Amino acid sequence: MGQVGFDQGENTISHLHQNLGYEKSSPFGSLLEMAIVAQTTHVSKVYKLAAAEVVALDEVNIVVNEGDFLALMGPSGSGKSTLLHLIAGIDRPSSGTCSVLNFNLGTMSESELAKWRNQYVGFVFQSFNLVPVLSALENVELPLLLTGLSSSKRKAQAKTALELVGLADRMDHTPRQLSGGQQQRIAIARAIATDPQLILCDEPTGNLDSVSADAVLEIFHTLNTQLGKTIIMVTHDPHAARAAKEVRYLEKGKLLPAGEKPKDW
Amino acid sequence: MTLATYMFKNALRNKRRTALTAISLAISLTVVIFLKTILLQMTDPPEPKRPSARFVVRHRVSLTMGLPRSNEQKIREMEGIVDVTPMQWFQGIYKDEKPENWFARFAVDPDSFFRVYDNLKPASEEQFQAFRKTRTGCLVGRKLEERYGFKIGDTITIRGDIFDANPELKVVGFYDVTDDQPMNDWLVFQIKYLDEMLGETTRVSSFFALADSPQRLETLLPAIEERFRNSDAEVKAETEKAFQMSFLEMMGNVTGLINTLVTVVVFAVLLIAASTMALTIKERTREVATLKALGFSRGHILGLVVGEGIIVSTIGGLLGIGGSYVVLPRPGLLAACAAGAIVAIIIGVLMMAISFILEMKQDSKVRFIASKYGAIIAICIGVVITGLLVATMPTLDWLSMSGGYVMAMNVRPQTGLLGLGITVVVGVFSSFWPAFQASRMSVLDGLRKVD
Amino acid sequence: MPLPLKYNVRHVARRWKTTSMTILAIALVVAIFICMLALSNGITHAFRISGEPRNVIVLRSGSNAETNSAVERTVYDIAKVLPGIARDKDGNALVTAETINIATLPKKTGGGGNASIRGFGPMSMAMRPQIKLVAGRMPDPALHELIVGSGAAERFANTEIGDEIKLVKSKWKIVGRFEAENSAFSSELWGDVDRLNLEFDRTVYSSLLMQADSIEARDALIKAFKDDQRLSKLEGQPEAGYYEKQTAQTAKPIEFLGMLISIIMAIGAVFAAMNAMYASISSRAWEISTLRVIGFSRFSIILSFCLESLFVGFIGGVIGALLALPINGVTTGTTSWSTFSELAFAFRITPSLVLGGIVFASLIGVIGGFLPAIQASRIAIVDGLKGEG
Repeated sequence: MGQVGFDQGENTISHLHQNLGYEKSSPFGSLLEMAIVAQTTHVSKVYKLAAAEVVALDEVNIVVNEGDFLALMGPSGSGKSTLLHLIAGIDRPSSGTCSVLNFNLGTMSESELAKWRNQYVGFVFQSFNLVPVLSALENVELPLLLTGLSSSKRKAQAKTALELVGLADRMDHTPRQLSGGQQQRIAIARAIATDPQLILCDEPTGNLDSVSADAVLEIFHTLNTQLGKTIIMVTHDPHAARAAKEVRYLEKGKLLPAGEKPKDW
Repeated sequence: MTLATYMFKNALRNKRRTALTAISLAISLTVVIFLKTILLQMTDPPEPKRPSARFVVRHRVSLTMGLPRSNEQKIREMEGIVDVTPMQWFQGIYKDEKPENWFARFAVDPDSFFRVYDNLKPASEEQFQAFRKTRTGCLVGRKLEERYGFKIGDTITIRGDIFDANPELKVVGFYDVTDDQPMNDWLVFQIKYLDEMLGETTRVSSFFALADSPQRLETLLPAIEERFRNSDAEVKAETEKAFQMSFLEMMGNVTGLINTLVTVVVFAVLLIAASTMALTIKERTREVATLKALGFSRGHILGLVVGEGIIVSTIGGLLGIGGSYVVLPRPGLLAACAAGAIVAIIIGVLMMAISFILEMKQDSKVRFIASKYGAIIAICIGVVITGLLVATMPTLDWLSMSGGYVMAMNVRPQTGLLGLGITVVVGVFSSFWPAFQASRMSVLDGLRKVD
Repeated sequence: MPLPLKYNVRHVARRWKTTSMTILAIALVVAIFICMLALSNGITHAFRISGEPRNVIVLRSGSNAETNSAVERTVYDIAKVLPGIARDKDGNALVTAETINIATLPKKTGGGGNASIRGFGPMSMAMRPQIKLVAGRMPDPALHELIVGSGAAERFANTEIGDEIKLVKSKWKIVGRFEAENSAFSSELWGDVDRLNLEFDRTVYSSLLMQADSIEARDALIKAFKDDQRLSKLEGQPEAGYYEKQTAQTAKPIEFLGMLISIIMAIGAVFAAMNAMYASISSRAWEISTLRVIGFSRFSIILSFCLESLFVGFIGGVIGALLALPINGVTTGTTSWSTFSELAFAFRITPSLVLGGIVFASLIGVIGGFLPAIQASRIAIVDGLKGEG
């Protein structure tokens, strides 16, 4: 995908590292000891509906290590999105614990979680969810507004993130002026703007044509291999899953053992 | 970009909606300022620049009962009195009974009148002398000169209603008000002429008097009342301000009425703003959820939405307050703007109708002009008409426009401040509930929502 | 084919949370409208029912109110024998000479107010059927005695039966109370005309009241009065017309203020309704396209949305009327500028006023819905179906 625009290659990435190196304490004592990025232990999620209880997740144990690129697959209703939401701290388990980047999410208040997400987690949605009245650059800058960085630093960092997804030349465009693929790349730039450790994606290629999807997947690949970002991606698109290093399947709320697929998948 | 920029962009996201909300706040604020200005004008006439030592002596039972003229000398003899002047409220009818032709007419004694009313000054010494010497002469305030274009030598006929006399008065001059007391729309003529017409030395409704100092009034007023106790005409002596206020009291609970109106108007505009704010935030549910997923806390969301509400209300508030300051003292301009707006609306609706009919007939070219430029054409014509009216219309004042009920409108600073206060209150309260709900909403519910 | 109204009603019900605020805003505007007009209605009513259709009031020509009129004693005797004068069952001519005096009396709320003290004659009560003594007795003409109208009793202090109030020189005892159907008379205190004239140092009456046999006789009476040389300085007019004229000065400013504020606030309410309708329509684009696909015409879409907005306005009007209703009958007071004295009156909400308020609100709704409805009708079928929301 030549047009994705990583021509500047190494240059850009080191530039990003320089720029993103703002005062943010590492959640880990030392990077060398670090191995586990996210871990769930006996995590269950039960929804109470009017008549019945629906078990969305059933005793899920999963470990995601630093540098992993994990794809979560499964039929709809299998609980893959729920698992992603629990790891993102936007939903809470009915039982079990979720530990992400050495934070025990169960013990954190909602505002602590919000701050934590802002600093350590990037989120990419299926339908991009860009703010229509803001330019591409401003959209990317949005999460940086909460960091306390100076205005010029924010701008520089947002630009770097945009360069990384190859859309620096579109930074003054509004989402409406961009294609779906471009919008999703802006959304990815927004997710990495605060230089998070972990990137969570919920069907990132679900609304894209295959060419745009490939461009997005290639960005994820670069983020994973060259910047060492840990990525967890929920998808039901086998093509997308192939971009990941590892694929795990869920079925009826249970995580299948590594390498195992649902029967009729 | 900052959070403030984001708030601004949000506020202007749906420009039509923001404009409608802001304009309805602006016009409601104009109503509030209009009402409060009327109220202030009545309850709190401008204080004289220096404390006044002027006071009024009238019959204890009511203003309709006169006092004998011999009282003048008795009052003059009291300690601390500088001067006394008899004043008879003549009332009467000028031209017709329409309220816009209503103004104060007094029968006075020329010499002592201007000594007691030391804030009123005849336009020139010659005019003053002419007033003294002309039996049927009268002086009019500058406001009346403006309103009716009276010139020296004009004859003004007043039909008596209280009195069985129809004085034919000759304008011999004008007087100026040297402070900001609302006394520039009086007509004064010689009380000797009134006596002559009635064939007797008439009793007068009041004596106005000047004490040697404002502090003197404390002891002087009771002393005068005491002086006339058990005479055949007991009196009430009160400061000029108290005398003015007694007329307001007669209107009943005007303060209560106007304050109630203001409260209801504010509440109504609060609802208008709140309903649009609720709509706005409801439509943005997904975006709010996204922001939360990006790490915006409840406090951030609350702040963003309330901030947006304040921005919208501030636009409307400044428009309304600024508009009031410009337009309320100039009813002619207000009328011109209203006329222009009405014409613009009518043309706009016509354009709409034309484009709609053409749309049915598939005449796309004309339709395009009508629908694309219809609003602009309508607004341009409205502006032109407003301009033409402003340029050609004779000066109007509130008195004649309202049929005589509303006097000059000068917005006072405290009324403007009240408007600002209302703006902030509307901004905060209209957005607080939607903001609170948005901040409490779960990220998952918000993301799931397909609008 | 028009869309069924049920469709719109359900939509309004579905978004009741946001709609209810719009409805309430409209309701408040209508409540202001109704209350202000009820206020001026009350004043008008007080004056209107004061006049008896067959009565003629005689004042000095040139004076426009009883307070500044003067009628000589001799006129009374001339008037009594004029043709067309009605007589009571004992054969007495229904003619009375009266005086109106203004006195400052202490008010219950503190401060002083101008009270109308009417001096009345033996025939006065008979000529005013709306006045009824409800407590105590009529005053003795030989004594300093007064009866007090219910409106005056409510506003002035020391007006219970048995109380005494000082007028000009002497103390007057309250011996009775009358009701006058909220007419201007209920704000007055009544005493014997000649005794009151002595008190107020008057030598002449304020007015002469005559009752004619019929409306026609009344007009003839007025003419006869005009033609009589002895009465050249006097002028007769129907009592009803006299009171009607008084409303102008007192009720009109309130009406002016009420209409002005209502209309301006209505613009605000129209904008609120517009916002709500635009929002509703933009969230229903898909649905509108579907309706168009099914075959509903543009016109029926416009009609439907105008009706929906009218419905919102109508509900607002009904709620506004309900909000305003409790004020009906609440008494308050102002000064009648023509007589220069306190006038007690009650807020008066009539069925036509309620109807007017609801129509006013419905208009707000229709006007607010018109532009959005046109926009709705413009949604291209394809556009609406393309975007999924």
